[in-house]
Amino acid sequence: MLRPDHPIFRQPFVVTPSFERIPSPDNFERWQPGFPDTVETFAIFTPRGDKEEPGLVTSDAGFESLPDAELVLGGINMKGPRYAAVARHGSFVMWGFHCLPEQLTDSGRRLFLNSLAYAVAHRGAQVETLRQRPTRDELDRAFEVFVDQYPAEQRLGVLTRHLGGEALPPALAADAAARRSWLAARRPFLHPVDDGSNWSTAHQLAVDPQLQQLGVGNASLDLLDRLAARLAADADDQLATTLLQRYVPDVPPAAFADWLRTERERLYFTEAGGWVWRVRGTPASSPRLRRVDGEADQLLRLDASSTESTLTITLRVQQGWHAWSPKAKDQSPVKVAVLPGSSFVAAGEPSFTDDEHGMLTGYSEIQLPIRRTDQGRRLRVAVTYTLCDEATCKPPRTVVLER
Amino acid sequence: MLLAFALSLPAPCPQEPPAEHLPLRVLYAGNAGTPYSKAWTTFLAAHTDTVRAVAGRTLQPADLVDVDVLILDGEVEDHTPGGEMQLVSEHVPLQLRDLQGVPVLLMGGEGGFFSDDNQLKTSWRHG
Repeated sequence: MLRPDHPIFRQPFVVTPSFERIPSPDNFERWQPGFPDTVETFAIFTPRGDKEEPGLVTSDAGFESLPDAELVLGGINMKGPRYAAVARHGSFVMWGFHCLPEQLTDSGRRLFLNSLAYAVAHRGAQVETLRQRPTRDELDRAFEVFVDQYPAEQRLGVLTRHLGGEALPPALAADAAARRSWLAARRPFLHPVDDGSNWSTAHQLAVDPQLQQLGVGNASLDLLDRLAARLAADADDQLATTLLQRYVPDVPPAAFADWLRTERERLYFTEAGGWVWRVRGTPASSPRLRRVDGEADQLLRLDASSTESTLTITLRVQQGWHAWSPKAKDQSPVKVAVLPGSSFVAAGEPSFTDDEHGMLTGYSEIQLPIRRTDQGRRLRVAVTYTLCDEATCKPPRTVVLER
Repeated sequence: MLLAFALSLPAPCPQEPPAEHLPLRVLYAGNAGTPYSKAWTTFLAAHTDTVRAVAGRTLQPADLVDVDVLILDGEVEDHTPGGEMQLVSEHVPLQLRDLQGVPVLLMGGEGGFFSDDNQLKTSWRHG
């Protein structure tokens, strides 16, 4: 993936790479069947030996679905030919090549400096959508490309990891044409099976039966018109209010018609960003919480993020120290509380990735089910913990985080 | 996630110091005190107006004052002598909301970690 006409090759320094064609890596053909035998490249840096550290590329799937992001160029990598090593998202420019500066070629050095200038040129550009959920593009790749790289007996299992909600016909394992037509019939009505809190289903899409009942896909503006018409006829229309809550969660039904009329030209549907309709120019809302009270602890790094149904606390405890879950008897376990003023309340007991004794060491997670109580997104939580080593325990500490 | 763009060309010949200069004030947040970070800050000093370096894990919003562009960088692997090679992160404490609209260059492993933590499209998880 190379866009030689991109301004990053001209401004402020002209990059004049010496292109050459080299044999394409084997994985390019596996990733994109029919990819040519050779690929046009130029040198960014000169390797020092066999022990180069890996750089970074990122998937092109859904990357440019909204103009807050653009791909610039790829590279020889272990993934696909359209994966990007240089790309922009909002005011963030990614430079995925990993080397020391003295290894840069003339072209590589100028391209690096131009990338720095390109970030500055995008001061103020907003990140509007995040990469949070699986997309139809990714499902297409699973059905069209990846599934055939597995033995026949494993293919239905591979497909099921990406598509849930119904039993897959065995014929899909071997028949690519059947896969295509089967997926095409469902494609407009797909949505994620849950909110992403469960790792085993976080990448799964399924048919939305209510959407199918309405007969219009979720990415079509026609959906919004149909919902508005139904709500105009009956403000309590169950199908319309259910779909509105699912695909336009930030807009109350009573305000929907005005919102649609006002924002119509600026609306877009994002899959990666949550399978919702949003208004162009609105900054993305991060699911992460920020510490607002409690000092940083050298022995423990504590992070928190939340989906609609689950608050996840991650603990990284320094080696030699540990905390406890409630499973441990006669110890002070980590406690998590959702504080007043939040738009959510706890909806169950927390679960811990602890050992058989209830000990939390190294990296561990705490998941607390939560339930929304109003339209807002404020979430304020307190985490109280006690750290111990073999000989002693520190006094308990409480950290307050919010978003 | 491995990359390199056509690595088969010969090493460049020794040449005059590069003339390219950007009138920018750069904040480089990377691994503190490593030869890798030193090499990059030296390079940046030769090509920009000013370069200030901080450890990624200590980065605070106040550090962004009087800065034109922030570079988040860090080596991908732990190079502790005798230590097991592993992914390492500075765990940059700033979040997306701190850096919306701020020019940022995401480099190396730390660019990937920051992207992952904040679910940017440039994430390593999607590489």
